[in-house]
Amino acid sequence: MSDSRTAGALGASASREPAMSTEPSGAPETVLDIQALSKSYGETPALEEVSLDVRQGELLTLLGPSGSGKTTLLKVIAGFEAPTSGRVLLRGRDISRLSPARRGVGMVFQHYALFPHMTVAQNVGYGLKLRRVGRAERERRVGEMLELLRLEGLEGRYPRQLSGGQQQRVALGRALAYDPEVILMDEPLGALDRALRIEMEEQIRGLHRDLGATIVYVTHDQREALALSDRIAIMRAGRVASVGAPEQLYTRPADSFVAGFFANANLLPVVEHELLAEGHARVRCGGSEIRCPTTTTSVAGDGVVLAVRRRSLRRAASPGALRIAGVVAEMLLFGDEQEISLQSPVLGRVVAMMDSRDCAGLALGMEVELFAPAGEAVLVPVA
Amino acid sequence: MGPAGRSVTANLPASPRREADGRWSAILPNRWALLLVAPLLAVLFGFVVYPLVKLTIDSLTTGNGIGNYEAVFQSAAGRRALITTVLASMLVSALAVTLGGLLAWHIRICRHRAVRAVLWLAVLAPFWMGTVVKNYAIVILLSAEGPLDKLLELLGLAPVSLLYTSTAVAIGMVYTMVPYAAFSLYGVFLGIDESLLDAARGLGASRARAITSVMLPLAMPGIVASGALVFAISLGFYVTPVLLGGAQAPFMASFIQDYIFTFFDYPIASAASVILLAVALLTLGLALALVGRGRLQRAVA
Amino acid sequence: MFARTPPDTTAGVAARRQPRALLGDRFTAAASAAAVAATTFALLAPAVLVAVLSFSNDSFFDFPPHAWGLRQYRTLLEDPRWGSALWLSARIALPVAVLSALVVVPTLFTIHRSRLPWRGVLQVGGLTGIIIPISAYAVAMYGVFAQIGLLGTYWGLVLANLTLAVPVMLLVTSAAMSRIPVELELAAMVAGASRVQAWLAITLRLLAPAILAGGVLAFVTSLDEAVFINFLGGPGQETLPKAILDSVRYGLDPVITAIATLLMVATSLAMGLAAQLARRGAR
Repeated sequence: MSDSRTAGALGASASREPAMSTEPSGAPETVLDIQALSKSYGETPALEEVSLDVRQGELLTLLGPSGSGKTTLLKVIAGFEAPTSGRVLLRGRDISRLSPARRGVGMVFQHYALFPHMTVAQNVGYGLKLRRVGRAERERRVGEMLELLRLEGLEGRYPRQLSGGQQQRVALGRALAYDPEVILMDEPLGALDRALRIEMEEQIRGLHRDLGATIVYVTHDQREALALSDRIAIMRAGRVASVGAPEQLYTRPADSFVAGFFANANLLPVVEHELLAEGHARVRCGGSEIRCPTTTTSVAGDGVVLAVRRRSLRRAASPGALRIAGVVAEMLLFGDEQEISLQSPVLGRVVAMMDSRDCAGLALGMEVELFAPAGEAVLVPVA
Repeated sequence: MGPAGRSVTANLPASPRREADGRWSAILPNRWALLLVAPLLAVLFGFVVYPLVKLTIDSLTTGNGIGNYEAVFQSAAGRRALITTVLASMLVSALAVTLGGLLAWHIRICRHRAVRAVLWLAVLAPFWMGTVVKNYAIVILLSAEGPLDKLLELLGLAPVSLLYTSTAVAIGMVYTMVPYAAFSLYGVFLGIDESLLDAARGLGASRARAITSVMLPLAMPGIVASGALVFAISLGFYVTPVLLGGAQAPFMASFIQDYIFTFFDYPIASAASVILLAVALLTLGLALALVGRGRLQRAVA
Repeated sequence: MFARTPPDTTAGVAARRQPRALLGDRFTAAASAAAVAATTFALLAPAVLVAVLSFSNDSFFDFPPHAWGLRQYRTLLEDPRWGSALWLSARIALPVAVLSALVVVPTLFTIHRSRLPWRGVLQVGGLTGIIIPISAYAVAMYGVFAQIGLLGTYWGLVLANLTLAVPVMLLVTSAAMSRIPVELELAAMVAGASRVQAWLAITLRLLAPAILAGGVLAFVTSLDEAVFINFLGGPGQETLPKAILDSVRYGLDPVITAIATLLMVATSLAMGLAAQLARRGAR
């Protein structure tokens, strides 16, 4: 699902923005260029040498656990925090020392931060008013925004008279109305309940597609990142651990942290490995020897693990597959799917997510064998 | 949706605002912060710090210097005034915190709207009356053959004629400080989760035990802060001793006033004032050390 | 009258376990309810007494009054002394309220939006005027005012009352300021507002009800001031509290019940308005 969407979005990106067509085909223009950004609070580093580029019309997600520096990075881009070193370039212009007002970015805050004393229309039109856009023009644009966000008829309401989802849309409208170069979103769906979150994801996706806006999106929710992003930057302890398209991060994680945090993969100890040509390796793991893709260049025996995603495991054997034998230690039913925890004497605890029909006959304490197709296991360096 | 979106994305000029300084910080720079606080600092230094410092210096350098203090402590009137004032203030803060605390606690836990309204009215009415009117009302209440004596008569008791005694002054001070303490302690109690009390009682504690072992320890810092403030304020009561204590009431406020305006002896008045201030500031300082700045600040009703 | 929460099941369980605790509970509950009832009665009695007596037509004090009527209010209107005292009090209180806002509001940005060292001390330091013994403080002010010739002047009284009004304003507005999320300012600045624009259009606008509430309370504080006026006021300066104080000092004039009642009503309305404003600002 996410794969096809990502491919579609990437393919469509060239036709999305008129400015794009003047660029040489292929490489989209970099809008936001973050260069070796560091930020520390006293002794504590919050960001360390972060470099990242955000391209025209893409939605780039900063994904990471809390305290990984993703919100700090957003604040530095917005101008709320000054970097200790490094630069932020917006379309080649160094904005690191400018006030937020002069950066020309838009922002959607976690708790919306709507102005409680202004109506919906006034909130959305605020940036236009500051840019001295004439009254008639302002009203026209605000009207368009409200139509786009399906907020027609609410222009005279105050934020406290709106539902959470409506407030969220007003916050989006306020950030979009003056057409900023880039829009920053700080966990914008964090305060909404699950059903509404999924609906809002649709809306953000639609807006992004229709407006071709460049968006930097912060979240700690891996599912949300998958649903929305063109590219994802995974952050860990103030650094960018990995950047790439969701599918790439999913199938070819750069290291064990990315594999574990993003793909929720099992990280299995490796007995020995040998690098082969074309990004593949021969790996001995548990009782089996397999030929699988790898993202490591290390030939040393330690410092690598085999990442196997939970959904890659199944009961049917296939040629060249990784074989894992163990005792069923835990079973959790999730409707159509079932999570099986296997205790393997060699590999430790291994978790599999399987179709419920596949699990027929399984019981706690039962000895079973599970198999992962060789192409779906990845040899990764330990982060 | 598409065409509408396209037209909105037409490029707009960037913010026209320009700041002179190229380096911008989201945190308010300290020189701005200092500039903004300048008016308050001027008022505080000009009319709080400077007067208090000048008072202390004057008390040591004018008149008989250190002898001003000897004069206060050696005169029978000075000693009596100081002792009465400090003791009365201690009594007043103990009573104000106890009664005000009870009142605040009942407002906190009471679920009847009408009863709550009456309790709130009792806390607010003294504030509405204002300093002078409050004391005037108590003068009427306590006056010979006044309403209090009549009430006692109805109950078959002897009249008490309290007016123009130290007891009358203490009553007036308690009357002013109970609502004050109730107000600040209500804030303290509001911060305590009522379910903790239920939990303690669920574990088998009696109501009294639950209150003393759960609620009181949690509220104690707030109670200490409130008591210290009530004490410091009580030391300086002026209108109450003058109206309820009469001409001879042995209170520091009257003593000081007499020395300035009757004996024209500013040096002794300043020494007496410094003593009063020292007692107050020591108490407040102690409270500050015990419970911290935040609690003391929140206790000011 | 002062019903506690109805005894619930957990209390019942506890009581069965410890029968003596129940008896103790009943006693403490009854004792504390009685104390609260007595306190409530004592706090309300003086206000009721004054209000009732103000409608007495007796020429001497007796409670309850023998004859009812508006005699005290008529006397009040006929005597120009009270009107001029009120006028002076108001003339002092108005600039006090305005100045206290001008002094305190800028400070709020330093306290809540900067990292200036010692900024937290300002919160308590700003309250000094109302937590130190006022009669000793009045002597200190007397010394300074004598030195710079402010004794017995109008502006001297304004400045003296300002030291009491500033803490009141600070308490009300600082509490309101701490409830305004800084994100609102940041949102305005990202949208293109300078810091000053964001402060004016967002923060100050949201703070306005609290500033108004603080102003009302500062006005009331100044109007009520009765100590400084005795130490710092001149012979011709008779504010309303001073006039009442002097009158009561030399005998009980029943007309004061009428002034007191009017003052109570006015103050309760003003404070009610202030509370309403502060609440509106909190939303």
